[in-house]
Amino acid sequence: MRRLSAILGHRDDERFAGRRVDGLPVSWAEAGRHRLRRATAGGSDVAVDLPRGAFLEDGAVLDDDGVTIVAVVRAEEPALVVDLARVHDPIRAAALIGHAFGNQHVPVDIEGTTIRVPLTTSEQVARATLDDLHLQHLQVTVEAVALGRRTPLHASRHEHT
Amino acid sequence: VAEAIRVGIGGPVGSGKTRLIERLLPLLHGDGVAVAVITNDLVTREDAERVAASGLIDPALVVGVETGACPHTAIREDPSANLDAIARLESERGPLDLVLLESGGDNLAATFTSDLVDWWIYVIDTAAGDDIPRKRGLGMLQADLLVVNKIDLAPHVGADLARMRADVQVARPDRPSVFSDLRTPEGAREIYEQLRYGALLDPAVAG
Repeated sequence: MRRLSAILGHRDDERFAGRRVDGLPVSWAEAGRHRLRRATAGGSDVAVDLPRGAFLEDGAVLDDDGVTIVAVVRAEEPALVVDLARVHDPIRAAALIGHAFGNQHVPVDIEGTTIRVPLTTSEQVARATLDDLHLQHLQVTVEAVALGRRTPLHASRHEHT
Repeated sequence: VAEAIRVGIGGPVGSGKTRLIERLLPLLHGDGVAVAVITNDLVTREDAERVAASGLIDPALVVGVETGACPHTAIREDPSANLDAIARLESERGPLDLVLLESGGDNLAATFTSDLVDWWIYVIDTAAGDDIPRKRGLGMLQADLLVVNKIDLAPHVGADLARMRADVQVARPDRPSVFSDLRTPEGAREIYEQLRYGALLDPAVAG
């Protein structure tokens, strides 16, 4: 068991050129974690123990023995993808999407006019929620996408008074 | 000075979160772990007062945080009240090895943010319904360790433990779970071992 306690750089950095890459799979929900026990793709058990505030972006190098680097792999994960580009009332639609999925308390990925919501239930349940709120007219797909690969997702806020 | 490891304990009301803390404290003290406890309640300090009066820990190392609103907001969306409590404990009572942070009793979707804790446990109650694992709440799915407590009550409430074990295995195929009866001190031993391993409390992990 090796304890990995620093982010040494990025997989694409010149100093790691020629190294064999042993991937460490990390999901979007785990990317902000400081402590993590995990087996690498190559079968090595590692203990991630990073300073608070570290972010496990795709390609982050956590170990280098001169031959092999251990690098974070952020695989694509299922998400509800909503494209508001051609919606005639995008502000209302965005607010309703926030209302529909805000109660799932998951951070979302926003890029341009596209909102990506990590799928925590099933496509069937997500679509039923959209139907219940009469949002069938929105262009919504469920896709495997890279969520917050380089930066944290936007946290949704939820306060009751 | 190294910051304390932070371990969250969440789960519905009455599932056994405070009891788990009471069972873990002697094990932690026995291994020389300097531990403090933070409990969350809505508008009282009921759980903090219970732990402080338990005789298991110096009362000065127990802090009650009144969340005032939904308990999950204090462990996920806005953990500032708990972060303040941790900072105060470390400043006034440190250095600490570990802080146990108990959420107020909440619904099945409650989860901890990694801004607040390093590793977390979700506790459910066998007697609250043997269908809970099939409901796939986010808390149960995402916790580092699931504790199914009060298994001794299964025959009294008609809970099917074998079915629960199978459902838990489906819901959490890659994450550990412990079925336990925390009325007895022995019920916490496996949970403690999982905590030591998962939260990297075990000094045997090579540096």
